[in-house]
Amino acid sequence: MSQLEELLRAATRESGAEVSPGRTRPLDLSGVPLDQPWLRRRGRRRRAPRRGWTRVMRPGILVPVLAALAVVAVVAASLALPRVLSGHGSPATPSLTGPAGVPPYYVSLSATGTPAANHPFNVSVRDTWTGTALATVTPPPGFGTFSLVAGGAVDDRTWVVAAQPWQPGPGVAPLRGWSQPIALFRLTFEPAYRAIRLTRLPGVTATATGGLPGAGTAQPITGSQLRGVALSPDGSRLAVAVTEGSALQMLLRVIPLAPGARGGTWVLPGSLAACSVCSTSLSWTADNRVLSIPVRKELIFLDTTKPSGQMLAASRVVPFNGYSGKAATGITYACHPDSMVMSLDGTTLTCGGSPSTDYGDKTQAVGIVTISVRTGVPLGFMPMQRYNTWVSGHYALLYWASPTGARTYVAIPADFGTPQQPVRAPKVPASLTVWQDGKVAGSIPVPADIGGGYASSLAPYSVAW
Amino acid sequence: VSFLPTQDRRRRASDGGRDAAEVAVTALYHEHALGLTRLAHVMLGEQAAAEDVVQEAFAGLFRRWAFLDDPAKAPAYLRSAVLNQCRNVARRGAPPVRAEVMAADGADAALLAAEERRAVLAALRELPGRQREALVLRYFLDLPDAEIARSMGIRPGTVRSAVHRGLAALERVMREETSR
Repeated sequence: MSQLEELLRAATRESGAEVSPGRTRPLDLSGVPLDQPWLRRRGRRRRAPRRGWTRVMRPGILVPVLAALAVVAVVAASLALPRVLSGHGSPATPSLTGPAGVPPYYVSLSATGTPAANHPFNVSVRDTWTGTALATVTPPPGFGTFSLVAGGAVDDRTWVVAAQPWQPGPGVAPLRGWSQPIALFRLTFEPAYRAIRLTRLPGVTATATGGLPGAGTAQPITGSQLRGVALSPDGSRLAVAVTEGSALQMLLRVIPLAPGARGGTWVLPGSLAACSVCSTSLSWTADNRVLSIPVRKELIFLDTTKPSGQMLAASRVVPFNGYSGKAATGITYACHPDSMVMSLDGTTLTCGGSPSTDYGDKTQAVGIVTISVRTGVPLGFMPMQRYNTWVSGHYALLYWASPTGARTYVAIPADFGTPQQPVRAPKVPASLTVWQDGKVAGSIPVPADIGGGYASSLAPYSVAW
Repeated sequence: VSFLPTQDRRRRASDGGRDAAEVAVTALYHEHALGLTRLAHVMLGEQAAAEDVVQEAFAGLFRRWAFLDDPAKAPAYLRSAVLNQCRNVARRGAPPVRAEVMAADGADAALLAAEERRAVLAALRELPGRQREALVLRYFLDLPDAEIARSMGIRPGTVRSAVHRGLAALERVMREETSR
C-alpha cells in the first residue's frame, strides 16, 4: 500500500472516529408514511395529457425548446453584463485578482435564521462576484455566535473574526451592545480545498467599567468594549482598539502574531476618545508600522515601533472634525467613523461622507471623501447619490477601498436618516456597488443571510475584504 | 436490492403493518447507524449533515419496507441510500464546517501530521463523486470491489478504474497544494 493510501486510510478513519458511539441521533420515524403496494399502484397510474398540450404542443417538444431558450437567455445575459463582471485577467498580485482590483473573496457574518437579529451568526467566506458561500464555519466549542469580521492582510486569505457566547439582541451592529466576553480568532481560507481554519488569538483584557462584574480590574473584553480591529498587511500584528474604564479611555493593543513581531499598548485618555457610541476603523501602512486611528476630533497616526505608553506621545496628530459635519479646515465634510481606510503608502485616508456645500442645504450629496494624511484636509469628493433633503447622519458606507490608493471602492449611499427604509425595494436582490474613478464599475450581490439581504443593514464589521 | 412480487408485498403490508416495520427498521438503526453516520461524516465532513443523511436513508427504507424482499439486503440498501444522499448534499453546496481551533503558538510534529490528514480529507472532498465514493468505500470501509460495485450500482471494473483515477487525482491535488 502506498504512502498516499496509508494516509487516506488514516485520515478517513480519523474522520469517522469523530462520530462517537452514543452521539448519533435517535431514529425518528413519526410522520414518515409507509408506502402501501395498492396505494402505490394507484399512484403510478399514468395521467392523461391535458387537452391543451396535445392540441397545441406536446410536452415532449417543450423540453428541447425550453432548453434552447435557456441557452439563448444565458448567452444574451452574459453579453449584456458589464465587462467588469465577465472579464477576468491574470492577476498582478494576489490582492488584485478580481475585476476593478477588488479581492476575490470576502468574509461575512451569516445569520442562521430570520430575522437575522434573533439568530446566531456563522462566518462564511464568499466569492466576491457571486456572493456564493465557498465555505462556512460554525462558532468554535464554547461560543454561541460570531460577532465581528475584520480584514487588513494583503494576502486576501486571512481575516480576524470574533466569537462570543450567544445573547439574543442586536445582530446588525455586532460591535455594539454585547455584554458577553469576546474572543478573537485568525481565520485562514484555503481556496483549493474550500477549507477554513480558525486559530485562537491571545486574549485581550481591559479594565472593566463600573457596573460590570469585576469593575476596576482587568477582565476579558466584552463586545461593547471592542471598538476596532485590523490585521497588519503581512498578518504578523493585530491592532485592537478597546474602551477601558468608566472614563472611556481608549486602549490600543498591538498583539504580535508571528515570531519577532512587536507588541505594545498605548492609552488615549479622557475626552479625546469619549466616543461612547461609535466604533472606529483602524488601518495600517504597508510597512506594518503606522496605524491610523480616527477619533472624534483628531486623526491619530500611531508609530507602533515606539515604546508603549501614552498614545499621543507616540503619534502624529492631525486636526479632524469629520463626525460633526462642521467646517474644520474651511471645507465641511463628514465621515462615517466605521469606514475610514488609509492607503498602504500612508498618504491618504478615504471615508464614506458628505461634502461641505450641502450643509443645511435643500439637497445633499453623499459619496466618498479623500483626506490628506499630512494635513487632514479633504482632497476630493466622489459623489454617489444626491438626496432631496439634508439629513444629519447621511453618509455613504464604505466597505472596502483600494489599499493602493487607486480610486476603487466598494460602497453604498446608505441612508442613516431613515434606517427602516432599505436601499433596495423588497424582493430585488441587494447589492454593494463597485466604483472606479467616479463611475460604477460593477456590483456585488448581498446574500439574504447577511443583513437580511438589505445592503443598508450591513454594519461595516459584518463583512470584510 | 430486489423487491417482492405484488401479492407478497400485500401480505407483508397487512401482516403487522407499520408497527412491524418500525420495529425492524429501528433494530437495523441500532445496528448500523453508527457505521453509516461515520461513512457520511467521512463523505461530508460534518456530523449534523451526516446524521441528517442517515435519518433520511432509514426513513426511506421504512417507507419502502413493504417492498423489500430480503431484510438481509437492507444494510446494502442503506449504504447505497447514504451515498446517494451524500451526493445530493454535496450537490447542494458545502455544509458548514465545524471550527478547527488551533493554538496560536507554532506547530509540532503531531500538529503537522494532523494537518496532513486534514489536507487529504479536504482534497478527497474535492474529487468527483464517483471517485470519492470508491476511495471511501475501499479505504474507509475496506470493502472488496464487488461489494463497492453493488453499493455504487456500477461494474467492478469501473470501481477499479475509479479508485485508480481517484488516487491519481488525490496525489495531484496534494502535490499542487504543497508547491503552492
